[in-house]
Amino acid sequence: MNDDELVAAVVRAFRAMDPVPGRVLDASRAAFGRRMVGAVVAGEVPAPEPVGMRGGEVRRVAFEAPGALVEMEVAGREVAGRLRPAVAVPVVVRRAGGDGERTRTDAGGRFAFPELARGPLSLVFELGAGTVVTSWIRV
Amino acid sequence: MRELVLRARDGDAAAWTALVERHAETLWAVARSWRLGDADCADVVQLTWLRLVERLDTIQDPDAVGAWLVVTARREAARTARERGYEPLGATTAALPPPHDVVAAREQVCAVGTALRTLPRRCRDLLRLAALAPGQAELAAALDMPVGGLGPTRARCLQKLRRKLTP
Repeated sequence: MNDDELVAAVVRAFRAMDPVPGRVLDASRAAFGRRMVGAVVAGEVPAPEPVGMRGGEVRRVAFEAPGALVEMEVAGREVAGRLRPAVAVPVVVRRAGGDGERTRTDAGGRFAFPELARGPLSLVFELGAGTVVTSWIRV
Repeated sequence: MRELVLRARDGDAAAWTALVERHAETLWAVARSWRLGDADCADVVQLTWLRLVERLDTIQDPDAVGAWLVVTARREAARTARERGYEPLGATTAALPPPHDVVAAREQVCAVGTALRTLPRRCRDLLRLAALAPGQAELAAALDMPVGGLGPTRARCLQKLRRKLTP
């Protein structure tokens, strides 16, 4: 076997031993459907320091777009957060394969999802001025 | 690459599918090189594509998207590995996942599969990624190595594999 043949054999061996699962390929193709032309992406920004009210398993994340700030606490599969400036609007969880769970922010901008399915997600806020989506995170 | 990215940006789903098909195996191998299980690898690959969708309209250099995908997957995999308390890349022992089916099990006993299993982990990851990565820039990003070091390291690992195949 020359080097090229050996490398080809390596590829074949890994394809047999550890192929990319079909569902991963499906989800990767489907990701294109999550494109929201016209929506404003709120990129991840450094989250404020924890106030020490909850245990060490809580991850804090924050996302910012012009005119909107979303702060969240992720504890396992529970997500709670606040939209600023505070306004009552629908919140939708985007998934790789389509839309998922829904809720609304209250008048204080607060929202909570007590038990989300695991996997990548992004939140969609339907603000009066337009749609804001957070960058993707994983729970 | 450039053309596929620009077509996808214009809304061409077939171009997106072609991008996925060209890079999926590499991204899976990057995630696996951090010793992640199936569900975590799936999340890493998905997140990588979702992040590309998110920035499709603002990409400055479409030719660099391959390397960007690899770097993004590597970063997500590293973050996941940290959360799981795994050792960083370079650890010498770790089992491959169990065979997926009977055909795979039969393939595994083939000489190359067996030899790969006994190689040092770093070499195994390097050979896998070197065989899959579309170019040197992607490979360097996947391994976090300078491009200049790739050739000699790959040659050394191939030699190790060859020695295992010819006892």
